[in-house]
Amino acid sequence: MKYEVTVGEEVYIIEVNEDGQIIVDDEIVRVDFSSIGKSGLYSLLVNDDSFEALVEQRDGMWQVLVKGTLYDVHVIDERLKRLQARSGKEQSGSGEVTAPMPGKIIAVPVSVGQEIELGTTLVILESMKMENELKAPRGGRIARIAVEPGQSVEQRQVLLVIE
Amino acid sequence: MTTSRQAAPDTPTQFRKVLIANRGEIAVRIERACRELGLSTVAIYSDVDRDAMHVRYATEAYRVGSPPPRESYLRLERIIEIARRSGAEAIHPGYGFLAENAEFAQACHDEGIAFIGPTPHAIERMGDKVVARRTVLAAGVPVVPGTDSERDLTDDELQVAATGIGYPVLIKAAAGGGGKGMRKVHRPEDFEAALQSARREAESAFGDGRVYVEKLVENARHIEIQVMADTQGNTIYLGERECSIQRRHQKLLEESPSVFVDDDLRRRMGEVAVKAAQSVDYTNAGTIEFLVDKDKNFYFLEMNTRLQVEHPVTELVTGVDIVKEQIRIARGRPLSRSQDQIQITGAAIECRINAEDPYNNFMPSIGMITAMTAPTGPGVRIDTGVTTGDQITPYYDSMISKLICWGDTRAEAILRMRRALSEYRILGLRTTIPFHQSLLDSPRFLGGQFDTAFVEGRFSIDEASYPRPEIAAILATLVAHRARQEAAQIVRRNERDVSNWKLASRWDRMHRRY
Repeated sequence: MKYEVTVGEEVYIIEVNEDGQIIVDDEIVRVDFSSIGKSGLYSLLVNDDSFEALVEQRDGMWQVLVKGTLYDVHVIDERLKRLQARSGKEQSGSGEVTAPMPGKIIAVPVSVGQEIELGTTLVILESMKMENELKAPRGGRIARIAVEPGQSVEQRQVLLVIE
Repeated sequence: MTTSRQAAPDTPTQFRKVLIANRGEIAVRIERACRELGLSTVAIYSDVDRDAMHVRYATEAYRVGSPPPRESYLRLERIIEIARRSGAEAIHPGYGFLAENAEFAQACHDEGIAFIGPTPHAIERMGDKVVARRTVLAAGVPVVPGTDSERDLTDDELQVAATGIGYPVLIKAAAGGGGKGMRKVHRPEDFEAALQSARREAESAFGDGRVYVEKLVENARHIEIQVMADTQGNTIYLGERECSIQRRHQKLLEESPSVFVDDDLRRRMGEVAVKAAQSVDYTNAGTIEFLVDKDKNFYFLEMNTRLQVEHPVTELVTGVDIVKEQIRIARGRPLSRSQDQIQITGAAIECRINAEDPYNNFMPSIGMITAMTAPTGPGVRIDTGVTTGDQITPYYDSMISKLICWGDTRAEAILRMRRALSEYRILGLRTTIPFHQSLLDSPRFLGGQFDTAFVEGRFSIDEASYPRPEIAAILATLVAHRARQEAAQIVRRNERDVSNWKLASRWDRMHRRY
């Protein structure tokens, strides 16, 4: 089975064969892999280098915590990849900005139609007794604002949409 | 060290059972002290905290209400009633919630319950920041220039006062603490907006929108002195804590001693702190916060009339168990040590591990801790109230734990902290661990060259760095592949066991490319 694996900007093609052989970008790799209990803790020996890691599936991604660094890893198998390509559904992000936690809207310092840049403050949300500034995850234009100051919002509720 | 203030005559000093009017790590910390002393503990919990560690650790536990603090941990009468029902003869308030509520301390005294903390009088005098400034000023303690009116000033009067004091100024909540309702203002034209925002936050946090204005001392350090006073009239100081590493007035890392404080400054600040405490006949543990400018002038900021979050760094360098000492004082016994028996040994650092994303403006990260392994080994202490499977909820603060390391020198404490941070494994939430790792690598921090503006002004967390992406890629793929195989096996009824990944390679060559 071949997988396309994305870590940040890096993309790897990793093949796991029937007999457990691993090929990373056409190179055979010597690995010894075992899981410790059922806690998501793994030990990986790669050419005798030892790595201990926590690995967990979360929001359709794999989170890998190794040597104090947390990696978000996308693993797509080739069949799924072909399927996605056929349906033309390459994910580009819906542009919806959602509340990361429940709270109260203090201010919405942008307006519909406004051009914004990555990092522009979109909403000030009071939660956990602090005023938190929600910044734009990307540049674009404000297509819709779904909340107003004073309103209480639930976690993951859509606040506004960037197009 | 002459005045003494007796507790109410009917307050028991021989208590056997202590109610902890708090939650999270501090409730567990206090329960531990009680257990060492052979005292039973009574926990209280809101509905979301039913399964929390502080409930599981306690001798008895009682529901106090719904998740929002106003409906649970702030319900003064209900907590007193639980104390009566459970037979607790003493209450420890921890920090936050009712810890600095004079009415609560008074209610305990009225009920004949020992309050493990200062008198209502002291809490009241120091709790109103405006009254506190006037009180210590009269006792000869230096304060930062600011508004010292008897009454609450109007918006216009505050604006005029700010101009008189001279910009930049700091707007602060009269009932304040923890940076809530606090705003820096550099230009007169920004004053009005900052004032409204500060009032709003103060109203929401304390139910009291009163504010005052103070000169902003620039390039200042925030250094505080731990004091302890018994009911016999003895007051001592336990050295200082360096708390300049802050963001939005929230402390992120504390250390003791401060690299900036020499023996002479420590003694002078300590003596002034004792004087400030004595100005309100203070008893039990308290902290005097000072601003210290680059010329080592220091000014009283406020007194925290409770146990501090960062008390462990003082415990590690002085050897005093502050919580047990608090209980001792509440039992009417004298301090276990005199001033000349307090020695600072080595150096201690505390990193606050919060469920916040340091790469995304410290946005709180709520949800379940799906996996957690804490560092251990020489010189490492963890104070926490959560474990794997517990939730960080939006109702309370986002603290996961306090990681505290001791070393023979500051350098050893820093190296040990780096080692401990790299051992800490938490999944399910974003944490401030990368922030601390980045901070501990910064030359200015290592050199001790920082002030309260450092984190927000001159420090930026390193870009998230991913030194071994190929290792993460292999791990995720192997786990994903195995999950897929197991799913398939359930369907195919176990054709073969795929668990042996021992393989030959030309890994070295491949690896060299990265």
